[in-house]
Amino acid sequence: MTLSFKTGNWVSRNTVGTDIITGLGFQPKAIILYSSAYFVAFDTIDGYTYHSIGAAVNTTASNQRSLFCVSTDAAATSDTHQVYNSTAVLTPGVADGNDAIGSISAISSDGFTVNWSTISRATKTEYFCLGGADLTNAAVGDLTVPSSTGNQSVTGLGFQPDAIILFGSGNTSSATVTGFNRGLGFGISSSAQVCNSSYSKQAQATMICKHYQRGSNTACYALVDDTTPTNVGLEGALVSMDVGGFTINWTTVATAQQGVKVAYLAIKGGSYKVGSISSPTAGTAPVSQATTGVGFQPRGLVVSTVGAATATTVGSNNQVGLGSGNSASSRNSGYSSDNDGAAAAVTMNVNKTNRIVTMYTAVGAEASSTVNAEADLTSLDSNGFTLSWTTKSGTTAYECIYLAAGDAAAVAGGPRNFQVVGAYFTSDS
Amino acid sequence: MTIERRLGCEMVGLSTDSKPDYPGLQDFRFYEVDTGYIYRHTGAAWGILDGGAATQTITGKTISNLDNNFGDTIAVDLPGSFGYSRNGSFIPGVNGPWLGGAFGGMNVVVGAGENPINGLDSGEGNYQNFKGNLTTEKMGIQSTSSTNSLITTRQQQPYAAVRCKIDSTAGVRLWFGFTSLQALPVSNTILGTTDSGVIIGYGSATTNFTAYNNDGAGGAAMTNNFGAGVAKDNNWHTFEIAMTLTTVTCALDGASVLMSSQIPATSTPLYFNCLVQYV
Repeated sequence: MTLSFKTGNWVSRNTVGTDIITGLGFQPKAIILYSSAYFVAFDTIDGYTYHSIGAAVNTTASNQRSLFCVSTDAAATSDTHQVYNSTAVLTPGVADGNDAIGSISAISSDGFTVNWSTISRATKTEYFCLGGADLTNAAVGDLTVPSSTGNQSVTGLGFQPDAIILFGSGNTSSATVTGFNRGLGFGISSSAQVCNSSYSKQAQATMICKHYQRGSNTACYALVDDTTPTNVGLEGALVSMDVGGFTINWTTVATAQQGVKVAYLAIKGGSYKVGSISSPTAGTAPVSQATTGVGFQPRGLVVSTVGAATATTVGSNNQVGLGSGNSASSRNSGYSSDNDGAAAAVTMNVNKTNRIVTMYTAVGAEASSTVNAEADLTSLDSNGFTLSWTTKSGTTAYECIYLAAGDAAAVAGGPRNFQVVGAYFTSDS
Repeated sequence: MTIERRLGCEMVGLSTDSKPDYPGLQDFRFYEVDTGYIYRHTGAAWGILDGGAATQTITGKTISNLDNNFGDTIAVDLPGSFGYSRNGSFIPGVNGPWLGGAFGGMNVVVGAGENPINGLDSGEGNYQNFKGNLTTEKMGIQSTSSTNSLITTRQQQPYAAVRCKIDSTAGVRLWFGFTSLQALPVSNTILGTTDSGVIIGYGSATTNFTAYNNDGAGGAAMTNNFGAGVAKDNNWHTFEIAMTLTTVTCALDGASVLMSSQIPATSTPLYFNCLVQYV
């Protein structure tokens, strides 16, 4: 029995219809699609700050969620939009006038199909999928953040999750609104949870762009405060995985973040590890960095960053990166940024097919944006993983949060056989 | 028609004739030739004796359904009480277990990548084998929601039994019985302070087969040994739970434990499980 994990990418069609993605080698039970750069070729830097992520576990519309955030490049007054969709897995371009909507319409033994109900431009999307016999349950849904702090339980999943991935925007419903406020989090227990957020404020003559990340197992989801962007507006900690769901304790709920939607992918079956690492500062690139203590050999790795050193407060610049990898030759990542304090928006975006994590500093001529740090996936090891930092900083240790997924742990002593000759029940009233 | 006096105390006439009424008519019989009714004089009045609306209790007669027609509605005395007996069976099968009756629709779980397979024990005969190899897996007959569960209450005085074994008790929990939880917790604490239920089995840290009971009133579940204590093992065993309106009896291979306190309330919904869970 194994857990299967595969990352990949594709360029979509540019007219209404279906894209059939194959080559996974297994039937996916959880599909996560993401992108930072939609309209330029892979491994090419472009302008605009984009971030999208979506998740699905089957072809049912209600079991698909997605978000898309955009900040317009060179805008004299910041022009941002964010969209949340509770019935589709991809909504690239929606909010900047390109209005593409894609849904998972079929799942096969080797991949999945995206049906574009609306699309006018070819888009670049990356993905990672999980499946295999060890993954027994998966569910996608969302919660609505309450108007006060305290515990909130998600129930009705029908299973107790082993891991959750949370993502959301500043939306309170499935709609397109102004603003750019996205969050991402991973959690497996109250002592193993990480998250980050990135933000650009709407209608600003001087850009206000922020980020926030907690890699210290204290929070599984957070957003920057839209009213006071130097503050954290929403923060929650995973309290427990419950029979049928999970419970989050919202420790910060600012007025502007009340009622926002937070989507979740909950999965059961397999082994999971959540944590954070920081890029090395010593040595000359490429620098090999082995992370141990995962407890199992991962089948796949998901990495996210806000392109900054470890901090407990909101930092400057809207920066977000997300990547995934399952081998040294199969990894993808994306990164986009929006500079704080600029007189006109200075943005960049890139999707990479040869790195698992990458981070840049945007400049006006976005193609000249500089790489601050990036790493390739060298190997998935018996007790962790090894990255090769092909670019690193000599002074800044950039923090990355990660989720590792692997096969379920075998019972010590081998399999068990529970044998039943028969069972009988009777009752009368 | 003129009423005719016949021999003895008999009179004959029509229903439209005025029946005579004078002293000395007691026990006289009047035959209405047009209706067939027979009247008897009580000494005070004529009362219908037979035919028409005369009340009769028919005993020892055979009424042919083919030779007779029944019109209108027939009033039948219902029994004073009516019982609904619900039964369920779990039976091993070549293509998987058959769950019938009250067990129908229950969730049969096995380890990831496994299927329940048929086996043959030289002493026990045919059995269903549930195999698993991964931590937290459950194997057996499981309730997880209101749509795939056997649900009962102590009011229904349920009885359940199973004959089963596991090939190794190391690193597993075994639970058979009823609980107010829709899904069993992944824990050695099978009945929490707010849970109602009666369970036979053991947790991973338990030494003996144990009968657990609780009423969900806030106290910890009670634990009971069978006899002086039967160590958990990999032998075949029969577990039984029988509930009445006042007590619950648990039995391990016939050795019983009687529970009369801290048992589920008669109206508490109880979900059934019979499974092994890896720690």
